Amino acid sequence: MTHPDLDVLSAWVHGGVEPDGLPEHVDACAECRDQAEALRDEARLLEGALAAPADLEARLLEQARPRRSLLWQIPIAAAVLLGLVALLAEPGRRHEVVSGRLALDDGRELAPKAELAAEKSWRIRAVEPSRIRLADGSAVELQPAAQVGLAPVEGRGVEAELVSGAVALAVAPGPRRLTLRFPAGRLETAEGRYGVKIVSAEQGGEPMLAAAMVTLVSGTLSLSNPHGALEVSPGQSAFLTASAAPLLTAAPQDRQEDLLRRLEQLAAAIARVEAQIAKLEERNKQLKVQVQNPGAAPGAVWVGGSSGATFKVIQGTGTATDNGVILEVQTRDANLKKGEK
Amino acid sequence: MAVDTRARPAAEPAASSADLVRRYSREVYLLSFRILGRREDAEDAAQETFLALFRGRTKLEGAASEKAWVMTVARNTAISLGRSRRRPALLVDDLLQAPPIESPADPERLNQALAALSEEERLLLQMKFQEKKSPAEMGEAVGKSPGAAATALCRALARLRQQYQGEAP
Repeated sequence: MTHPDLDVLSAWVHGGVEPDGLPEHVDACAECRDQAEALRDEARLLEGALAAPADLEARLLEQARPRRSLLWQIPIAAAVLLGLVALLAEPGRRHEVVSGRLALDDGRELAPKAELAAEKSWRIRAVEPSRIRLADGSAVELQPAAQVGLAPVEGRGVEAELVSGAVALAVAPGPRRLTLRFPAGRLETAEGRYGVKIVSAEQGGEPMLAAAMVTLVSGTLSLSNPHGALEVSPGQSAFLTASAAPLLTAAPQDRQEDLLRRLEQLAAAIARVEAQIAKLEERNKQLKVQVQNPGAAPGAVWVGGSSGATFKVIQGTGTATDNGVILEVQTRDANLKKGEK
Repeated sequence: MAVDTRARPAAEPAASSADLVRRYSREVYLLSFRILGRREDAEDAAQETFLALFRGRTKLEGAASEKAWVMTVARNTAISLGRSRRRPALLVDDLLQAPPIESPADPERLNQALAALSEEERLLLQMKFQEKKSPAEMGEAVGKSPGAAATALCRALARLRQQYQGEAP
């Protein structure tokens, strides 16, 4: 038989179809044998090329590590902070958009693979959740509507400004700290992961009040503003406003104990106050007049006691009335003055 | 107290993030690759898919099962990633029959060639060379008779070889 068509050979090599006489021909024909072998090689090649990368699962599991869930336990407005893949690329002279969609001030849109020269300043707004790799190797993740500014600076190469919205940062290690500025102050970190959310209110387009909540996931973090400075430890959150020094909020891990302790203190204080009220009420109810002159006739009016109340004797035993309510009144001050009837 | 922000399919126990990865990373990658055609794009898409699943940003309404939920997110992620990374396919003369691709192959040329195929063509190749499916099984997957599936596979393979041999534009 003549040399079989490539497709026919292929159908035979890969199993399933065996035309009459084909195996015998291939046995005898060197050219077709080579071709069959080439087809088998090709199959192996494609199997490899189409397969999932061997380390894919490991890399994805890395993303799923429990360490990330610390971010979800932190009491910052819902689902704002995101997990990060630390992108420790070689520091270059460009910032690169890794994913998402962003817009520049002039309206130009940035898509993944877009690059920004690090020696220029940029003001960027996220349209969708986005990720940028900075020239120093750090990664910034922006929530929609988050605005950041990037500026060139000596040493680190880039300085970031958070204008509004929420971002998470993974800061690449480096000899100089990365500075992140925002209206309420600035923070610097040499390496680490942290999330920042800016809360700001605007009036007529101008930010009137800006506060930032920062949570450090790992690494080191210094917060400062004109009113003070603060070192933050991993797991801690800090609150930064323009008008006061940075303030540590309750750290997540001792938050529960702290709350419980405060609740106990409150409960004890309430109990004390309630006891005092009860005592006073008792005292109010049980003011008894000790009549200096037993035998004072019913109807006599007495004024006295530390309160200067007027008592009218109803009976000889010293029972008195006040405002028409019959009270048993007892005072420490036993000196009652006889008053007008 | 931790707040679990992950969405879950109804009536199924919650899977941890690691469980999801172990169960579905390969399939998510293969689906992403079919849609996008390039290995690194498929990896990015897989990563974005699982990030979206971990964050619980995606809703589950109408998902028949955990798998359907995961694969829907994967498909949507890959498609939206593909929009920003569209690459043109090579136009190659249909009449030429190129020989089987030889080993060792030029990885970049092979990438380009795979990227130039359609989603269905990549699916056929995956089913044949990855999953070792029979023509009957392939036919079922693409809604064709076994014979038609085999023919389509032949054509896909032929096109792949042509793209590989063809000059880059």
